[in-house]
Amino acid sequence: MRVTQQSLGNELIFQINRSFSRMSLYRLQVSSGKRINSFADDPRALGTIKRFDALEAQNKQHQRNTDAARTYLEATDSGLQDLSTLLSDFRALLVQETGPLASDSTRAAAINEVRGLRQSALSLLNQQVEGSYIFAGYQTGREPFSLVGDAVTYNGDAAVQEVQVGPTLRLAVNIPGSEFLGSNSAVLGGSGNLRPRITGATPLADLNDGQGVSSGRIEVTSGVNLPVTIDLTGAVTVQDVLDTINASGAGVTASIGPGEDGIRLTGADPISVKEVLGGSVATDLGLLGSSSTTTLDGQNIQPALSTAVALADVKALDGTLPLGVLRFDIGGKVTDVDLSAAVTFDDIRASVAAAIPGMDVQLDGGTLVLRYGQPAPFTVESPSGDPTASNLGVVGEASPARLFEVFADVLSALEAGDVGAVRQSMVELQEVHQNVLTQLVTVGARETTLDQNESLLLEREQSLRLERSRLEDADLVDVATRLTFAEQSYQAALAASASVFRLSLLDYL
Amino acid sequence: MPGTGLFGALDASISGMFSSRLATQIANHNIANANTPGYSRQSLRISSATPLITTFGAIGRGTVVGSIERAQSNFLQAQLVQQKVLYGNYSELDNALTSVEDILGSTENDRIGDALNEFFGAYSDLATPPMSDGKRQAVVSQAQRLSLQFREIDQALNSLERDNRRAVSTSVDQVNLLLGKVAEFNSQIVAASSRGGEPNDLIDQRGQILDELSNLTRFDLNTRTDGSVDVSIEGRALVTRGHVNELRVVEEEDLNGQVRQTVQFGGRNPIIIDFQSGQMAGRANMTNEVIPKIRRQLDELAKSIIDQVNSLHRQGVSSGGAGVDLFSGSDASTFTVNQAVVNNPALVVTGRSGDAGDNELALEIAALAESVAGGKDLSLNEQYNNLIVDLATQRGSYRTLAESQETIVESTRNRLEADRGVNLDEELANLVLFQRSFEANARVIRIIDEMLDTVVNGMI
Repeated sequence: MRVTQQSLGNELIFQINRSFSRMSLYRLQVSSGKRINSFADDPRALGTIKRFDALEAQNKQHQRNTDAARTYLEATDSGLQDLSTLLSDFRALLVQETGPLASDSTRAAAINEVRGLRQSALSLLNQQVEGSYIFAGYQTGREPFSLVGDAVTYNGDAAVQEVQVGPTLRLAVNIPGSEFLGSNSAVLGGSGNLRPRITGATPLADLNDGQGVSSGRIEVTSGVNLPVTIDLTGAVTVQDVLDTINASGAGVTASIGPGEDGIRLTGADPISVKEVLGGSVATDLGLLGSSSTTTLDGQNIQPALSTAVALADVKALDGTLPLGVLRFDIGGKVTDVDLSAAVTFDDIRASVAAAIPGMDVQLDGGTLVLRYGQPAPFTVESPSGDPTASNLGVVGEASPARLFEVFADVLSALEAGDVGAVRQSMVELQEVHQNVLTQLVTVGARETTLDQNESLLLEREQSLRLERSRLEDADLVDVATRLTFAEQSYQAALAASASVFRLSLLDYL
Repeated sequence: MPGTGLFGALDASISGMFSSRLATQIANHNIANANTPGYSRQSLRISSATPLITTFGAIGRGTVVGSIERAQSNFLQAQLVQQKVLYGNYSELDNALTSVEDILGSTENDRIGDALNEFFGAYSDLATPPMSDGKRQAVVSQAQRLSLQFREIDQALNSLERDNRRAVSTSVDQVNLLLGKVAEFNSQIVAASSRGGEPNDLIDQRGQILDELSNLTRFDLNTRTDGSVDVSIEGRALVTRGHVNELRVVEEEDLNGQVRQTVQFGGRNPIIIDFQSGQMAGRANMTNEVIPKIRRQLDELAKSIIDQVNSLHRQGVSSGGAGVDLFSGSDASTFTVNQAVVNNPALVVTGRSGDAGDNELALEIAALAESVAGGKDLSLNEQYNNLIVDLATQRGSYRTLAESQETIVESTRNRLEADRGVNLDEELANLVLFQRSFEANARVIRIIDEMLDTVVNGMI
């Protein structure tokens, strides 16, 4: 083939240009670390990279939102923890006020203390994060709870604020104050004493609401006789105790008291019973003390009411069996529950639960508690002439416990000196507290979700980056090698052109 | 017997010297033009003179100079034109799309993509309680930034389009200039041919003009017997011998207000030239199709953003009152933030109830970037992504085409150059050859002179 200087020159210039541009491309890739530096480098990958850009930005945003949501939830969490502590204190105060040491003077102090607690509860629930009230639903701009006179009103709503923390995940971050106003259930606290009677066969371990009787000795003195120490160590049942005392020669006769709730000692003279060597047997048996007459009636040491207890074993129900009808009215819907077939308390519970789903009969010491699983008020009575409801001590109206109503109820009960009403309120307080704890669990679960979500977001960010880098980043070893080759071919092209053009026939003529 | 004598031998030698001298001169010309673009190597056609027929046979009478010939390679020449035309088309589109890419932002700094992310991010921030005025202000700022990016990009594309239109005008001027030159050379070549002989250098120069023309557009050639060429572009005869139909650029607005540029010629009933290939076609394509398409896509995206955000934003109620439009405008060039909202960021809504803590609507607006709404098949992010991928795919394919076409052009040019170009060594060898031939002829003349001397002085 014919070759001319010009074609040779063109060819060389073309090759040099090409090597040079290839070299500069690899240089750009090495210096930027990226394989794709322009739209044209890999259009298909570019689309994916741009998509990843958007997804990564979105992921970053979700991480930011997660952080913000956490701040909000943490504030809610600590507010609720404080509220829970406050309610525990409140309960402790009420326990004192219903106890034997309560007096008019402690009551006056308690009233002040309850007012103080209410104020604290208010400020906890009126908490703000960056100027927003967190317990106000959507009404974040104004104080959700305000005290007017002796009543607290709620100015917020029940709306739940959500935060976008994942591509498809929206997480609720606030607990609207309305949640504290009603509990999730309505409770009717019963009255009366439905504890089973004591018989000879009653195990000592069941006595005193199931706390039992410690083992040891007692000292019994009848009149001016010498004290007699009675060893009750081996006693298992009440009958064992009675028999041991009767056989002790202390001059007293032990029997089950007329109320069938304790032990009665009778003798010829006034009787006194003491503990031996710091024991607590006499106290546990309800016998500690002395009588001015020939009879010493012990304190109530009845076992706790349990579902297995037969109705016939309850003294308060003597002569009322079989039971009649309990009439429930839930929001106008009246349901009669026939309890005539009930033999044990478990039967009562089963009958009620079968008739009204969600209505639970619970036992609290010697009383029944009716708990309805929905925050709807209800009343319980019996048809006229039927004493069943009052015999079971469950006549009355139940409404969902409301935090600030409990305060109001307690305050008026304390002011009126009505210990019974204070006790009644304690059941409601328990409900309210339970509700706060439920909210705390909810908040805790959300925080856990946030944590899990955050690690998910971080993982996704990692994998997005990895994918992106796989598409976009230059393989440095590869590019560096190519760059070396390109440099070599560039040098070769230059060297070749220099030597080719040096050769000419002119040199030989 | 005439012609067989010593004088006849002298004639033969003189013709040898003459042709050697001429060949040297041509080699000289070739060497001088070794680097002249478009130059075709010339050579001397030499033949032996008609011999003298004698009774003892034909006696040679030296050489006869035939003609000076030009190394021609019409096939390769046509090929080169063809390939250059294609290259011009691809490289022009590649260049123009590079400008578009620069305007939209490089792969690192994605102007619209970033602004979209920032805007919807700001709204997501606002949707996350507590909702403060500061976050509303941030939404307004990001909304302004987003709309500004659209306006700036639209403006830049608009001026790119204008530059391209201007470039088309310039190219048309250039085409006219080149066509004029072709016509001029046609006249000169016809005149030179009529005086006899091939005007090789004129033909080369005209070839060079045509080569330049092929950078701009595809054209067809028809060579006449008188040596002139007729040039037609897309089937329209523009040069006929010495006559030129000049092209002109006409700009018209269509019904959508889109300026459409056409190239025409002719008087009362102008004919539109529809460039199919070459740089002119690339530019026309860029001006009339590619850039308007990208602007249309941007307009559509802007309209989607404006419509979708507004339709949600209007449903809201804020402390500033009932929901208003957040954005105003209907396409990229008119995309702005509602001035009322700029003046009072409290008008940025987060909910339908107007409650301070209602964030439902803000969540919905923040989700717009990734959700399909407003009767479209694609989310806003996807719409933008498609626009970019579309552009990148075009760029990618034009760059690949331009690069491979460049190689083809180069190799065709090399083959052509190899075929018709000057090889210095060859010319030098020729020089030596003809120099020796000249010397030999001169020596023959001296020998004949000596022989004549012998005859004239020795014999008389």
